[in-house]
Amino acid sequence: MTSNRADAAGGAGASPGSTVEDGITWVLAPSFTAAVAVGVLFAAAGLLLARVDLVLLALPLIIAVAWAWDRQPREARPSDGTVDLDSLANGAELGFVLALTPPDGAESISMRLATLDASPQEIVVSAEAARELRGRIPVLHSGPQQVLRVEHRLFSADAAWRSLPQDPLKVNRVIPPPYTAVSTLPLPRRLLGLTGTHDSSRPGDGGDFRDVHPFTTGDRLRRIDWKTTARRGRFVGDLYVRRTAATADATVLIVLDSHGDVGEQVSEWSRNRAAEKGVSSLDLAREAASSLAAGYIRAGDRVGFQDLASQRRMVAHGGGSRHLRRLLRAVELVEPSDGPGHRQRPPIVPPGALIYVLCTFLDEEAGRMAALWRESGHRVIAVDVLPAPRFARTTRGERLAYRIIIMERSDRIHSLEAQGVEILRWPDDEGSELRETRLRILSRPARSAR
Amino acid sequence: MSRPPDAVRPRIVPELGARIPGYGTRVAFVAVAALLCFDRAPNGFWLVVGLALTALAVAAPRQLYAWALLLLLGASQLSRDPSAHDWHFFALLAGLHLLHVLAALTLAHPWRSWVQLAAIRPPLHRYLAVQVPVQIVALFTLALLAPGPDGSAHLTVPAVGIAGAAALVLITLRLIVPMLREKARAA
Repeated sequence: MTSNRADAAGGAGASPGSTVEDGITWVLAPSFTAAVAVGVLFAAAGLLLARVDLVLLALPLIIAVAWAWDRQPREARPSDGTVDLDSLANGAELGFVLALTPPDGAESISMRLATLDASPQEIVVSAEAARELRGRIPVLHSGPQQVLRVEHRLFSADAAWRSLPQDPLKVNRVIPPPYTAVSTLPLPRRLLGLTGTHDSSRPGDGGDFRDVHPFTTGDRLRRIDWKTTARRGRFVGDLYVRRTAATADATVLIVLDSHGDVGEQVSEWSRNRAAEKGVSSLDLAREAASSLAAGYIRAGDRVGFQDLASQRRMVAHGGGSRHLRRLLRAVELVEPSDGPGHRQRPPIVPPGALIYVLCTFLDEEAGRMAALWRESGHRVIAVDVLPAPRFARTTRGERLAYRIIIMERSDRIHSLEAQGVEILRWPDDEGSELRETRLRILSRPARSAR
Repeated sequence: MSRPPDAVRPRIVPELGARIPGYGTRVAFVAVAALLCFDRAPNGFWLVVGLALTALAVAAPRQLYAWALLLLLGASQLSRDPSAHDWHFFALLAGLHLLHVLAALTLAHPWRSWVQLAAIRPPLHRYLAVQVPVQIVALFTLALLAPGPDGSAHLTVPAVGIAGAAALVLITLRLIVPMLREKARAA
């Protein structure tokens, strides 16, 4: 359970007919004044015209306002509010428990509950129910976000007195992306590690059969292949040994471009409202980065992480479950950045590393970095995380602009392919090969080239 | 992070239990106001004015048209003689108070909100707690003070004055004296 505590206090100044003390401001509702006016008018008319029935009509109104005046809230303590969030259960919703302790005299509470920038849900609850209000919040995106914002105002009996809107309670949380460890893993062209789970090209221990080689100094006697020695040996001293391949781990660098974050709803590309844009490119990028990191770490490889838009978001390569947790946390914390768009030099990467570049290819920068790394001899796989488009509520102009942008993007991708950068489309679109199939294809040449 | 259909908008779902939509108080206001308008002015100009005020009270509750409607409906009683046998008066007595309660709630409840039933139960309880004695008092008062078919009332004003004075003394003894004692103790 994550607890977020915030005090809600009225902060506005005094106004006519209001009770202002240290914390909360109570304002007399116009309904009270109107009821008094109507009641007095009826009573006065009844007396002047000698009509007892008019006086009787005034009676319930006068009693009602007298009762409301008697219940006037006198406590100036602002509401105390806490929100407890449940753990993310099914990946789509987050449970919450809102506990609001209103001051004495508050009978009902009007609340506005909002998540992200969606239109708020307005509710009116009794003061008693507000002490423990449960609910569910839809989780639309991964990453850091404001999952809940609660604004409220208090009402006394018959809504005769009302408070000014209280300071909002804001609950921020980092939502982890859903991920599945990738099982089919492309590898670097050359494995430079000294131990691991992959067969390297070097002779050594631990791997599969490599070749038969004349005995040399340092070869162990138990490796002598007597059948081959008998068949091939021409002199008495000729001995042949069976050699196996050494094992090695791979070094992988995951580079994520957090410049911009576009959603699947094309109509929201200009407005970019989090609640309306659907699955976003950063959602897919976080999912892809987590899945790749988990896959490689579980295979015993070393993985590093770098955000192209920020120098601070960098995790040096390493292995092990603790390092995986560090990586996943770094990926979770990635948020859209407006950092420097152009880098003079690409980030330094370990020699022989396989580099994944996760981006949308909507601008030049990430592609340029990928091309530079490829030129320096690294194997580079560019992961396309642009979500499949949806055209609901788009105008003709927006659809035309989309086509132009996508044509430019296609040119960039073709140019990268021509320079030797391999492309992996992460979302499983209709009409294109599945991600798993593409990963299997990408895994083949790396092994055959060794 | 599943892919929702196009039309779905993300909404927070609070567990409110029994609830009504925020426009429920407005609907109730219109129903009660329309019934009273048709009862007090079955046809003609004042019916149109009453219905117009009802519509305005719901459309712009902050302009306090609801209490203007209360004045109009109360003024309609002037065209009738007070009588303990006239159920229309008792309906008006209950209706005006209910309209005041509903109009006050309309001011407090956003029309697009969900209102927990527990939040409107106390005002309705208070309404009943006020109405029951007021209706009884109205019945007895009209029975005693309202002129009968022969033009004379059962009770005269001096008699009511004596009863009122006795009631005032009782109220003073019951309410004011304990209050003064409490103040003296606090001082």
